[in-house]
Parts: sequence; C-alpha cells; structure tokens
Amino acid sequence: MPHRLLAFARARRRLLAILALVGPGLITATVDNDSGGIATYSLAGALYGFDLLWTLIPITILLIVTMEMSTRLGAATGQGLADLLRERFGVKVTFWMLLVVLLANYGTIISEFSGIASAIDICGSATGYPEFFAWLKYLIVPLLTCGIWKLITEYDYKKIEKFFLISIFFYFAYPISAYLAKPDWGSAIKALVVPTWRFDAGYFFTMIGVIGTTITPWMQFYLQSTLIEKGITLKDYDNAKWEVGLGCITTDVISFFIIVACAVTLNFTPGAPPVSSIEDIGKALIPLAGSYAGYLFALGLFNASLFGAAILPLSTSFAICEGMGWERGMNKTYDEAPWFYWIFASLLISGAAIVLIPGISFLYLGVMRVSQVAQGLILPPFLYFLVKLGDDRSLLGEYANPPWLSRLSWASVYILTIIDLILLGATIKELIVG
Amino acid sequence: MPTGQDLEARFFLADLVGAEVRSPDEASPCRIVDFTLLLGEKYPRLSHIVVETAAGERHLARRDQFSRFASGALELMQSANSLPHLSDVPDSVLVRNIWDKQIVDTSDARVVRVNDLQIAEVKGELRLLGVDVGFRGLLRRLGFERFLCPLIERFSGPLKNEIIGWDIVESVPTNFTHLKLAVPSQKIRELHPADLADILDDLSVQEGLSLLKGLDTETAAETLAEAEAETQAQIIAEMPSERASDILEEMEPDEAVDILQDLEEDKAAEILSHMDAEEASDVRELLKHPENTAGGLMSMGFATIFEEFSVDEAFKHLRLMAVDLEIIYYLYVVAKNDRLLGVVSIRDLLVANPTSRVTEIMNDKLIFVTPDTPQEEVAALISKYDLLALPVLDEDGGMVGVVTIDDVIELLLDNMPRMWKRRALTS
Repeated sequence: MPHRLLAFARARRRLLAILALVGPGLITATVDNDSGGIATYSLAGALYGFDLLWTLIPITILLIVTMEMSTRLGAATGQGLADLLRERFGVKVTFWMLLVVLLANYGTIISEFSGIASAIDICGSATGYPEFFAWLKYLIVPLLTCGIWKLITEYDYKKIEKFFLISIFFYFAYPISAYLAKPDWGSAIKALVVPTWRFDAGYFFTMIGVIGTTITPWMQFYLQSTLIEKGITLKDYDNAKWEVGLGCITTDVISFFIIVACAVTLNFTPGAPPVSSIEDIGKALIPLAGSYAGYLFALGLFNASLFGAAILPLSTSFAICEGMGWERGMNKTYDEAPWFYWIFASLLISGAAIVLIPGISFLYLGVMRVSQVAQGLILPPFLYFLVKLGDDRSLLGEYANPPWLSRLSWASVYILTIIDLILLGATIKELIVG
Repeated sequence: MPTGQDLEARFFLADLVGAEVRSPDEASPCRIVDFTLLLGEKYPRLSHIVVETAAGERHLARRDQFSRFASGALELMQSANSLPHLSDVPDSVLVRNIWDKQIVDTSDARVVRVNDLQIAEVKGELRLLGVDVGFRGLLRRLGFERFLCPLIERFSGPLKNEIIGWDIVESVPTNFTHLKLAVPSQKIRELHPADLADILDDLSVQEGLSLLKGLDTETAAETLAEAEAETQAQIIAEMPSERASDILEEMEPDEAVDILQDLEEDKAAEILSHMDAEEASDVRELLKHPENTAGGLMSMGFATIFEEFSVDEAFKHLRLMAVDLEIIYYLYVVAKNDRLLGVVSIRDLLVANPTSRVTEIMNDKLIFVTPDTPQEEVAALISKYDLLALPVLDEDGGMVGVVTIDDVIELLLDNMPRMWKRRALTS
C-alpha cells in the first residue's frame, strides 16, 4: 500500500475510534453549556462587552487540563473520583468536599429548573398570554420532574443521552446571530488575546461565574464515572483524551460566540435595554431569528436545562454515595441503595418545587448566575485535591502528571484562589463601605 | 469472634486515635496516632501503639508499658521520649491504612468500605476484631457520633454498629494497597463462582483482573460466566489474549461466543487464534449466527442415540458420552442420515423396560427451532411447553445444537414486569 494511503487508513481508523467514543467528553461539554452557562456568558457579554473574552483562553486550557486529569485518573485506576478522594485523603476530607459540592450542585439544579420555568415564561410573553403560561408552568414542571424520574429509574438513559446532543445545534444559532449582527471581529479577536482588567466587584463576580460555569467539580465526577462505566482503560486513554479535548474546545468556542452575540446586541447597540431578566438575554438572537428570537431562545434554554436537570441530581447522588461507601446506581433496587434514591429524589423534587413558589420568577436569572459563582468558589479546594491525585506517583505510576503539567496546575490553583479572595475582599468592602 | 471472660474491653480505632496519653513526664504530653499490625493470625495482633509527642515525634509503645488502657484513661508507665522511634521498625503495617479502603465481606459476597475498626483487648493483648462498615462508624469517624446519634436514635430507634469479623473479610487489591494483605486467600477461593461474580461486578476492571488472577482457570471461567455482560467484555478485553483464551476454552462454547461478540473484532480474532483447535471451530460455528437467535444461544454438546438402540444400549452409550457433556436433559434419537426422529428424557429411560427399543418410548411430536429463530420465540416455546431444552435443526432436519433453559432464563426474567423481577431477585 502506498504510504499516503496507509496514513489515510490510519487517520480514518483513529477518527472512527474517536467517534465510537462519543462521547463522554462531548456530552459532558454539552451539559456544560446549561442554563447557568447561557445566563453567565450572556451577562458577561451584555454587561462587560468584550472585556471578559480574554478569560476564555486560560479557561479553555485549564478545562482541558482538568478534564484530561479526570480521564487519566479514571482510565488508570478504574475508580471514581469520590472513591479516590476517600482512599487517598480519608473520610473527613471527602465528606466536607462532597458537602460543598452538594450545596453548589443543589444551586445548579435549581438553576436548571429556573431555566425550564423561564423558557415557559418566555413563550408566554412571546405569544402574548403570560398568565396562561404562568399557570401552564405548574403543569409542565411537575410533569417533567416525573418524566425525568421515570426516564432515569426505568429506562437506560445512557441509550438516549446522545439525543441531548441536539442542543449543540441550538448553540449554532449564536455564531450565526453574532455574524449577522456584524460585530467588529478585529476588536473581538484582540479582546480575546489581550487581557482587560477592571477593578470592580461585579467584574470579578462575573469572571468567577464564567470560570465556575465552564470548569465545575460535578463535571469531573460525572466524566470520570461515565468513563469507568464504559470500561475505558489505559488502552483507550489516547482516543478518550482527544475526544475530551475536542469537547472542551467546542464548548468554549460556543461560549465565545454567545459572549460576542450578546455584547453586540445588548451592550454596543445604542439604546439597548438594560438586561434585567432572562428574557432580555434572548434578544441576542434577534439578528438571526427576528421576532421569533424568543421562541428559539426558549427552545434552546429548555433543552439545555432539561439535560442538566436530569443528570445533575443523578451524578450528585452517585458521587456522594460513592464517597460515603453506600450502594448506588440504577441497577440497584431501593432496598439495596436507599441513600442513593433518597438523595436523588430529594434533589430532583425540591429543585423543581422551589421554582414553582408563586412570585419567585424574578429570581430565576439571579439563581442561574449565583449558582455558577458558587461553583467557581468551590473550584480551588476541589482542584487542590484533584491535582494532588494527578501528581500521585504511587497511584498512577508513569501516568502521573509530568512536571510541567503539575506546575501549570498548581499555578492555576493559586491564581484561582487569589481571584476568589479578591471577590470576597471586594464584596466585604462593598458591604462595609456601602 | 472470641467471647467470654477472655474479652476484657472493646474499642473503636476512631475513638483511640487522637486520644491523650498521660505519662510520668508531665512535660511531654502525647497522643495515640496509630497502631502497628502483625498479620497472619485469625484476629491479628496490634503489636505496638504509635504515640506522637507534642514535638511531632512518633514512638512505639507496647500494651504492657501502659498502666491504664481504657477509653478516656490512658496512662504510660514511662516517658514517651524513652520509647523506640517508629522509624526504627521498618516495614511496619499501620492499622490506619485499613481505614477507608474497600474490602470484600465474604459472608455476604459484597464489596464494602471500611468506616472504622474494632479492637479488643484479649489476655493483655490488643487484637483487631473486625471492621465497622455501618453508618454509626461513619459518624464516629466524622466526629459526629456524640451529638448526632442521640438525635437520630430519638427518631428511628437504636443505631447499631455494623461489624464484620476480621476472619470473614478479604482485602481488595486496590490502587492504594500497601497493606500486605493483598494475597487472594482461601476465603476468596472458597466462595461460590456466582458470589464471586457479584463481587466482580462491583469492582473496577483493574481490581477485577487482580481478583481473577488469584483464581485457577476453571473457577475464573465459572465466575466470569456468571458476571454481567458488560463486566465480561471489559475484563476479557483487558486480559492478555493467551489467558483470555484459556478462560474462554473452559466455558461452554455458547457462553464464550456471547463474550467474543461483545469484543472488538481484532481482539476476538486474536483470542480465537490462541484457542485449542477443536474448541475454536465450535466457537467459529456459533459465531456465524447472530447473537439474538437460537443459533447464537445454542450449545453444540448434546447426546444422540440411534433409532435401533434398545433402552439398555442407550444407557451404555450415554455413560460413554456423559463425560464430555455439561448438561443432559434429553437424549435425541436420530436416523442414520442424522435426521432427528424423537426425544427421550432421562426419566423416560429410567422407567422403561431395558429391552424395549428407544423408538417405542420416544416422543416423536417434535418441538424444535431453526438456527435463525429469534431468541424471544425460543424462550416462549421453552416456557409454553415446560421444556428444559429445545433442539435446533437445520433445513434437512439434522441436529445442529440445543438451547437449554439456562440459556434463556435471563430472557424469561427480562420479560417479567420490572418490579416483579426486582422483587423476585432480591427476596
């Protein structure tokens, strides 16, 4: 066989192998752009124009670094992240770590249901019957909650999880909308590469939100347990690594276009209304969809939130039970794994119930935003333990972090800690000074 | 577990670790941080108590160097600084390493995590009695036992400790196993393959591989055959092909085929190439049929007798063949040209007159399937006619294999309403 053909055959084989593994990485990355993600990126563009674009490059690098580390830990040990935390750092560290993850995830679960409820509200104002849709919410949200419960407990949801990948097509709306809005691409690219600093609390708050919605502890737990379920070991690690990397880049390219589209339509356009509700964010799609922007936005938000609302309670409960050593998993019955079902059910049901409290809809956007900041705040301690595991030679042998990666990861942990402290400092200062 | 007067006191490791130890030298307060363990006995001896001084130095004390050893009242007879250093005893196994590790409870055949350890003082010696895997142990480790337990007990009754005796636990060779217990011992080997398979399903691929490594090929094959399909494929895929083919050879060909069909083609071909020629040809034959048809389910080991045989001859023939056959429910009466004429059950043979011909007692109303019959139909036939096995015939009416009830039992269970099945499997 001629050399070129051979190379082609090899490339094709590799591509097929990667496609076959679609996709813990791609799926995890898609869940990443959930309702909290859309809200956070949109607000970043609407409030600060292009000023936060530069954070995307370091965030992408850190996202790839952490996701690769989880992939490697899973492939080399065959154990979940909570299992490894428990064996390496003991029960106390695991308990407190999982407790903060639980709290942050609970916030994110509420934000997913807020996304679902908002999508219904947006349809209400787009059709001109807001009261009718406000009532419809009380029918749809409980029905969806039952649907999620049935889907996860009675069926093999893994078989249909790829269905949720269609939300990727919704995200294509953003690049198109951004293109049609005719931004100054030159300055967008410049803003992507050259950092802009603003020293006010809101800027740091939004920045931590952007970090926290992109790199979240629960995604690492979720990714690692999915890889293990698929039986991915060191042999498949190379392919899995690329798939995960591809997923990370896809998610951040989408983030870029969301920020640009929102910056142009909601920040740079003179006379654009201030963003005060989730509905205003949907206006970023007007260049693409015109008067149908609301429907398009509602549909995308709905799909993205639904996936998150299904996966988050499940993966949170799984991680907690894994760390505490309780029976877990859908192949266990309630009698075998009571903790697992209790945690899963309470997260799901109470998350749905909260967004139905009458008159609470004005808080939806706030919840989406704050929950992502919470994820950003718990990130440094979580990464501290993750990087320690990745560095552990007795655990990973030759698959431990190489020195450069270890240094890069530790630098990120320090920088994130400093950013978090700045936000805390600024918040306290504003509270005191007023 | 040792009982009676021998047993002087019981402790939990979590209560002892961090406990303050008084010594004659009031200037050097110290605390218990760990114990060293001497493995080998049924309830291993804790040879030394590791104490840490305020300066952070770790020393080893023996039980008899304590004048008092009770929870809340620990007293050394000499100053901690005069005791030997921990580093003076290289390779000591520290008990705290067992905390938070996974172990196999061999009485229940399940994998559990160690929350705490129970220690007993027997005849002046400290011994490791068992592991605590319960919720109370978890609270104790977290330091919540004192204030949470009374609260919980008020609502839900007494919160008991869940202790598993050390003599019935087995270590799991984990990634962190520096415990030198990792020899798969007698306890594991004595378990039934079906129980071993349950454990295998709970372990990671790596742990499962090291579990199987400790078993002989036959037990490994029986264990793997009982495991879930996903576990089977993941484990076989990770094994060296020679070992994998040895294990698959031990299995019934139809079971081996199920696993091979779940593997990547390259790997399956490689394993086949290592297999014994005769076995491999059976497997290749079965591989031709899709997984979800009678051809994919059937096994090729069955007992045939010829139409001219008498009952007595049939018995003689059966004794010769039985050696190679795993399961014999029926004898298949065939003509010279291999065509199936009828079926005789072992019971029919036993009650028949030894001199009568098999054709007289055989059942010639044949219920059979062809290799491409869907598995659901096979299961339905077996269940409808209460059969133990069903012959698979080719288009000329020749026998190619049999599907036995154990090949379709999973399918019969799968078709039960879900909740019913759960109840059936867990009760």
